[in-house]
Amino acid sequence: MLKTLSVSELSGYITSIFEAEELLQNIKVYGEVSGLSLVRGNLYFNLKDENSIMSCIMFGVSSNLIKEGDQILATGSMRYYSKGGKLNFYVSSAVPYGSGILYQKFLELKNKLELEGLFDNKNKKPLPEKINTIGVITSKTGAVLHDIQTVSHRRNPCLNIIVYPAKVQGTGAESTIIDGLKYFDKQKDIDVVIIARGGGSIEDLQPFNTEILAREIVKISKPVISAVGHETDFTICDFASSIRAATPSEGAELVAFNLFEKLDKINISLDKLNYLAFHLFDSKQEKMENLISNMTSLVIQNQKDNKNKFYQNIEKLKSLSKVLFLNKEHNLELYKNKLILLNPTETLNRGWVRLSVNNKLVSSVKKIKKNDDVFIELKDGTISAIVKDFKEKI
Amino acid sequence: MNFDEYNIRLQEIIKKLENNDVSVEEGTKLYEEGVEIAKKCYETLKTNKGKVIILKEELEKLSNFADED
Repeated sequence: MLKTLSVSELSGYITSIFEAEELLQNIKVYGEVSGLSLVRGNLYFNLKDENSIMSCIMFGVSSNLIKEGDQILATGSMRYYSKGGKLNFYVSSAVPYGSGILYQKFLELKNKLELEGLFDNKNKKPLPEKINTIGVITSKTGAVLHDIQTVSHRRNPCLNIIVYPAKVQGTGAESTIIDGLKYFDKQKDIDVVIIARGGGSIEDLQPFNTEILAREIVKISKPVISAVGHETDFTICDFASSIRAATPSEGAELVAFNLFEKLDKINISLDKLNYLAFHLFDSKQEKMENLISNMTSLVIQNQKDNKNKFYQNIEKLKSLSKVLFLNKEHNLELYKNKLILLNPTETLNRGWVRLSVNNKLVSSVKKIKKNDDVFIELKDGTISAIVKDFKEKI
Repeated sequence: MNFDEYNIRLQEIIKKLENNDVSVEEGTKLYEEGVEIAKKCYETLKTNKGKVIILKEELEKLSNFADED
């Protein structure tokens, strides 16, 4: 007869089986860490190898204990979590156990392609100055496409976005991405191709870490922007692309120039142009007016100087004429005195007499004869006399 | 002569006037020339400023037209 059990009864039974199985208690398991997340001090991750995967939980640890892609040796026990209906490996301690195989493969491929020169700048195509249409290879569902559309249309509502729906995770993802690249390469109006995907574990991003995709990116004629994962996720796709955008939103920003910013810039330039044109007039006018006022004050000064020179000359002339008259007056006085001295009346005053014969002045006895009638003038009168005798000075 | 050349001439006039030997007649003649130059400069400024104002209005009309689009 079939036994009927409740879910809890069945879960309890499973739990007890695992707890009783010594082989599953306190054991060591090695594998590669993936899908790591830290929630309230508990680490949730998967341990995996090529064929299998195991869900693991580690309580009360810091985030930097292990990282994505690490190959670790974990010690713990298998337990059935009845509330979640899930079998987990509860890890009590973990130590490094070589490096993660996927990560190792990623590094090897990166080095190989780098050495080959596939990532060289010569293989990078510059973004065209005018981007009108972009091709986006991404999942049709999910936030990535929405983010790209929102961000790019906010900046430039005129941008055409053509989407190539692709698988971005799991089997077959790589080939749909490559098909997308090939498709867009043939479309003439596509200016740039964006390969986009949100963040994920190294396994999730595996389709973006393949050699064939890297070579296809380099091969096509259009520039490719890799917008895969979060800022901290690096993929081969990033290195092979013309530009790596840290996030899908940044990818959209790169292709959608800000139309409004550009319009603002033009307006600012026009304002500057207007300002400079009028400023030029103002500065030229100011310079000229300075020269004119300088010139005016110089002319006024020049006229003042010339007037002063004129006044100085007048003053000089005045003083010179004064000196001239003074000299003349002095001379005149001298002449006057001389004249005074020469006045015969003055001689008579001093006691001398004037003698004349027949109205002729006589100054020498040689002009006198005996019995000449002589006329003698004195200071205060005249005498008429007859010459009795005369004697010449010897 | 253009505006800048007029200014150069003004500078020359100033240089001459700075020399004390300039006679009243000569000074007045130079000043007269300076004032004539100033007149021409003002005319040039007025004409060109007017042109720029008209151009600016045209530009504003253009950008308003673009905004309406």
